[in-house]
Amino acid sequence: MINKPYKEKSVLLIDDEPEYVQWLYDYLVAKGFEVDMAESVGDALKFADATGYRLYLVDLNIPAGAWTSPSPMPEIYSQYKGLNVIRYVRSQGNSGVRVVAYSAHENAEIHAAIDNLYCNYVVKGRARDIKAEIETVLQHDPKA
Amino acid sequence: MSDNTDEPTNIDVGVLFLANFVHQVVNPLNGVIGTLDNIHDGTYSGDIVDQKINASRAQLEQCVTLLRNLAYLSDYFFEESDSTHLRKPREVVWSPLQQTIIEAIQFFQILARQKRIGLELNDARKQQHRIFIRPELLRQIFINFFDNWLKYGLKDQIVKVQVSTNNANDLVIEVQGKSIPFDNAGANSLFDFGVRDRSAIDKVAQGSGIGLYICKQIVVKTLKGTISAVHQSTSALSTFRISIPKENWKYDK
Repeated sequence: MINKPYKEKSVLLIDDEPEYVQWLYDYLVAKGFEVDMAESVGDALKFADATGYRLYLVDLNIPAGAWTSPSPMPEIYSQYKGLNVIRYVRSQGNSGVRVVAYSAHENAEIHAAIDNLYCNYVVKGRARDIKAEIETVLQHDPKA
Repeated sequence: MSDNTDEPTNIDVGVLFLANFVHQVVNPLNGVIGTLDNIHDGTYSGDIVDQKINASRAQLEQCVTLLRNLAYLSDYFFEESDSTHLRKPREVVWSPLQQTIIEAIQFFQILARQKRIGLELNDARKQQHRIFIRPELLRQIFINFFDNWLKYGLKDQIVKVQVSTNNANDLVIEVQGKSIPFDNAGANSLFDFGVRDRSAIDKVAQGSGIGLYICKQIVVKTLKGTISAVHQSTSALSTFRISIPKENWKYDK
C-alpha cells in the first residue's frame, strides 16, 4: 500500500461531463461523503496519487488529459480510457470491491476488461443500479 | 479498421458514429433519470426540486436537438439520392437572423451557466437582417454552433457572435471564443461527417460528429454560402465564420 492519507468518507468521481452526473455528486454528498471530481485520466491519477478514497466511481469514456500510457496497452484501454484509471488505483492496493465503473455502452470487450480488473460495472441509464452498487461497496469493510 | 488499412472506411465511420451517438444521447438522459430518482428518494427536496427539474428539461431539450440533427441528416442524404419522392415539401421564408441567434443563445442558457460560458450577440439592436431559408434550418446552425462551443470551449469566457458585411456584400456571421486547439491545415475537415469520431481518441469524447456537418450542408447547399473555422494558438481563440451571398440575405426594414 502506498503511504498517503486515506479518507474514510470520501469518493473520487471521474467523469468528463460533470453536468450529467451532478445528481450522483448530490446523492453522495447527501449521504455525508466528501466528493472529489476529476474529468480525465491525468486529473484522476493526480487525485488518486494524493489520497486514498473509500470509493472510486469511474466513467470508462473519459479523455486522457495530460496523461500518456507508459507502456503499450490493449486497444480497449485506448477506446475506454477510464480502464487506465481503474488499473492504476487497483495497482495502488485498492480492492476491486471499492471500484465501480460505468459507461453508456455494454459489450463483451468491456465485460472482459472489467473482469480482468476485478471491479464492478454498471451501464448508464439505471440510476438505482448505480446507487445499489454504491451501497454494496459501502457495506464492505474497507480494511478487508 | 474494417479493411486492414490505415484509412477508416465508411462502415468504420458509420459504426463509430452510431456508438458515439448512443453516448451522446444516453449521457444527458442518464442525468435526467438520476435527477428523477433523487427527487423520488428524497435526496432532493424543497426549493431545489424546481431548479433540478428545470436543469433536466434543458438536458432533454439537448437530446431532442441531437435527434433533430438526424432528421436534417436524412434530409440532405435524400437530396443527394435519386429518391425525390422522399423529399419533404419546404417552406422557405425570410427568417429573422438576430432573433434566431438570440433564441439559440437562450436555448443553451442553463447549460452555458453550468459550464461558466457566456454567449453574446454583439450589437443586436443596431441592424436586423433576414435570411432566405426555412426558419428551423437557420436555428439549427446556431444551435449546433453553440452546442459545439459548450463541448469544446474553455470555461470562464464569453463567446461572441458578430454580424457584418464584407466588400463583396456577403453577410458574414462570426462566432468567436476560446476553445481546445485544432489544426488550421485540417480545419475544413471539422465540417465533415463523423470527423469527431475519427479524431475522438485523444480528445474529449463528447461530440457526435454530426452537428458541424449539418451546419455545412445548410450553409453551402441551401444558402450557397461558405463556412470555415480558424484557431489562433497564442490566444486560444477560435473563430467559426459563415458567409452568405447577397441574394440570400436582406436588411430587415
